[in-house]
Amino acid sequence: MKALSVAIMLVMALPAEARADIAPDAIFHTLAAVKTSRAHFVETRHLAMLTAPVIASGTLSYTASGHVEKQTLVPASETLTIDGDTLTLVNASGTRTIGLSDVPEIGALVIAMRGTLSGNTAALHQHYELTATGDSAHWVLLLQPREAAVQRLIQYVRIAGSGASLTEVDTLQTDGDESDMRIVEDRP
Amino acid sequence: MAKGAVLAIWIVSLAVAGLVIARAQFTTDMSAFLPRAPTQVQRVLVNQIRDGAASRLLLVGIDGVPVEVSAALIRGMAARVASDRQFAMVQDGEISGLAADGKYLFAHRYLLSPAITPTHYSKDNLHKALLDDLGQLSSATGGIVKQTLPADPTGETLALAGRLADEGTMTRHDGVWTDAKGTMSLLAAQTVAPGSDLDRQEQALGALEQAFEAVRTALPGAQNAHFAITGPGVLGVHARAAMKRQTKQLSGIASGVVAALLLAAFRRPSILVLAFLPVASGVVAGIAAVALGFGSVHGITVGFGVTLIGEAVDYAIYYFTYAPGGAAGLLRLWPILRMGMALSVAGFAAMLFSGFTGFAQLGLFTMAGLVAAYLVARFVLPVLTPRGGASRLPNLPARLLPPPKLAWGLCGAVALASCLEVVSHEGPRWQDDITSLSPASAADLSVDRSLRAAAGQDDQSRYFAFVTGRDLQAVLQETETLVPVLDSLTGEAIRSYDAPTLILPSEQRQHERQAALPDSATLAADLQAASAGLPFQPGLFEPFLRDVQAARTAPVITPDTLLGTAMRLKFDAMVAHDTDGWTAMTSLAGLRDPQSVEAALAEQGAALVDLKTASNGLLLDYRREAVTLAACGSLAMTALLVAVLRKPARVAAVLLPLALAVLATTALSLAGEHRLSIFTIFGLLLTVAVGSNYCLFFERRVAGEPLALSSLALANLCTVAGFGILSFSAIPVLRGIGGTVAIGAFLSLVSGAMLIPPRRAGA
Repeated sequence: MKALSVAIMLVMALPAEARADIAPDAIFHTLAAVKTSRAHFVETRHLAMLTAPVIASGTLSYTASGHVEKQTLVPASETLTIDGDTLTLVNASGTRTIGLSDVPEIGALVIAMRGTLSGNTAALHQHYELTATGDSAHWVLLLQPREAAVQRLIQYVRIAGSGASLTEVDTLQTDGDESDMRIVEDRP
Repeated sequence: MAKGAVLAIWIVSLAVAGLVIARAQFTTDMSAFLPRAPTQVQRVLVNQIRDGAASRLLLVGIDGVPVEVSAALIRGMAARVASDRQFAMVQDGEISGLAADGKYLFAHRYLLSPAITPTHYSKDNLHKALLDDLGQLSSATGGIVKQTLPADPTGETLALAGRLADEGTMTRHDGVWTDAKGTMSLLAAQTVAPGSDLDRQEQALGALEQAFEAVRTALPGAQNAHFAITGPGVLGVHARAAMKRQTKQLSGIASGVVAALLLAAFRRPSILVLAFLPVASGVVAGIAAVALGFGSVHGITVGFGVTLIGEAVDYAIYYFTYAPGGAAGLLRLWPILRMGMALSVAGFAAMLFSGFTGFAQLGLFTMAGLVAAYLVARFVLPVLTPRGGASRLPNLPARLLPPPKLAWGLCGAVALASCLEVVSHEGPRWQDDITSLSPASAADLSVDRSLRAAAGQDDQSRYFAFVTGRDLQAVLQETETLVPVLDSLTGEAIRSYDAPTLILPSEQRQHERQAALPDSATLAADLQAASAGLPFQPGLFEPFLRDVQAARTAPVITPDTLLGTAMRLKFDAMVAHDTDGWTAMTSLAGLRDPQSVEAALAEQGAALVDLKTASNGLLLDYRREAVTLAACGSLAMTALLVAVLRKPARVAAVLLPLALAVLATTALSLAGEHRLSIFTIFGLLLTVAVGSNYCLFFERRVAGEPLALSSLALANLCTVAGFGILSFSAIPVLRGIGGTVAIGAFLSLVSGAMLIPPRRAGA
């Protein structure tokens, strides 16, 4: 057991370029070091109901550990805040506060994004099967839900990034609908 | 009368009474001590307290362990009792537990939605709704909207759910309700049995406790979990147990003390048995009278009644102390006892008119009991024990008493001090909070408060708009006429409202909504036009067209349609009926301006009810009634005294010490408890009943005679011991009556002895 952990530590210490694929934990390690970040996003949704995609854009902000705010500006103003297990949604129809687990439609995606950003691997491993590809400059993390309730809604969440920044969050739903969020980090 | 005949009559009477009792129905339902409420609001209130949906609610809180563990415990408990037939509903906060409610809202959305008007599905409105849908699909809630969009593009279901989802404001951990701090996990259960059915409430309580224990032992890390439960049923079950235990213990101790006193005085065990014969016969007669008069006998009536006719022990004491003196002594004793008994009966007769069934029963019990006890003391005891107590009690010399001038000065000083004490409290202060009546322990009430606060129930459901009508449809229609008024008040005078018609509209309103739905050709054409230029797939809204068409001719929804949903329980809590008709209550949250709300509601023929004021008002009514009854009782006693004693001076001589005792006892109660309660009043009535006996003895005393103080002192000692012990009870009713009578009886004896002048010899 001890020998194994020493070996893992050695591998982790190697320069990332030296390996074919990055380990998920290495990505989280880098991300966990980020205490605060802001970014712009453009989200494109392809829905079977519609003959054309719907597009939304706005800003994202993250504060360690685990506070996420997604502010949509176009087409309509909406703020989604996640703090702990609570999700708060403010839009034209008012303010709603809901438990994350009550709305897996939103919660699953939030857990994936926040878990990645905060490097909270325990929460991620609990809910998702993780696979990482690429290297530290261009990594891709594939999250496949473990729970049946979430599997009914989501096939996978694919998060791509570069170093300590997220560049894309792509969600494929079980009914075939897809959402693709492109992220550009604001330079401080 | 022949001795044999006396005994035969006595035994046959007891046997007949025994037969009546054997066939009598005994109840333990605490509501006998709630009044026959005079107004409809109060009646609904009392019914709600007894049997309403709120009375069936049990609230469980678990803390003392990390919230993950307590949430798991709650979930485990919920799973265990979910299939238990005793519970109509078990909710731990899991949204899936509300699946039946969601289905109901979705299935009947076109009959339920207040938005359905003839123009709701016009081309323009549909176009607006579709544009809004597109926005929703790109929002964070898109995944949720998507599910109902094809069948419900105007979002009626989500709007209805949003309107009713007050559960959504509760915090949750892992899907389980927690308090706002997130340290306590919560579970709500609704029993099938009404809150006043304490036997079945006890079973339900046991089932939840067992479920908790079973889950706790199985769950690692749960050993230190702390389980708290409340609910009207729980409070009732605990109070009943405490009442039984304390009545048994305290009256056991009191009887023991009285027996010891009698044994010490008369030194013959047989006298002890004989001394209880009048009381025992009185109890039998009392129960039988109540069974005949009321059809059923309350357990508490028996428990208390025994206490109330405790004065009958005195009858035996007087007999045993007078009998050795021979026929002459007895000839003087009987008129006094008869008069004392008649005075007590006159005083207690007022209780017959009490709005509390329980107190009315007590009144009858006491009257029948005292008459029977007197008859047994008068006719049976002399047959069984012609010589009374073998030895005469030593007579206390009259010089024990202070000289008249000093006595009057002393009593005057006490009266003055008492008046000052009462005045310092700005007149008698009353305990007008209804919880002071509650037999629930302070610990239980504090658990109740903290759990309700944790569940966010503390301030809710205090104000209601109240309508009445002859049937269900009438009250629903009345409520619907209120809705526009309430809508205009929302955001200003009130924060929000929750009307039963949001759950179940009147049939008339449902028909109006059906008539407002367009026919399928019109709707299809308008929808086609409304979606022109929008990127919806052709044919996407087929389910919508189909459902609207079906809703136009669907059967109306009724309370039965609600079966199996949590909303049914809520509806039952809001809509009630009894023999006088139906009532519907719309709860108003965040009321800021009661006057304007009251005025606005009054215009529509509805009343604003503040449950706290109404329930405290109920108490105020009981208290006024108690004061009135006590006053009537006093008047009846005075009238009787005047009729018998004739001379105003003699009447005054008897009344003055009693008045002083009542005044001083009131002052002492105020000094000790700061408040007088309704129980103080009953205690004072009892004080006067007992004290008047003493005064009658003193009134008959002839100057130069030794003071008959010894027998009175013994009787008084028994009373003070018996009631004094009750005053140690934690239960307000026992403590209130016990303390008042113990103090009052003693003061009556002392002031009677000092203030009543002996008759002049030969007068």
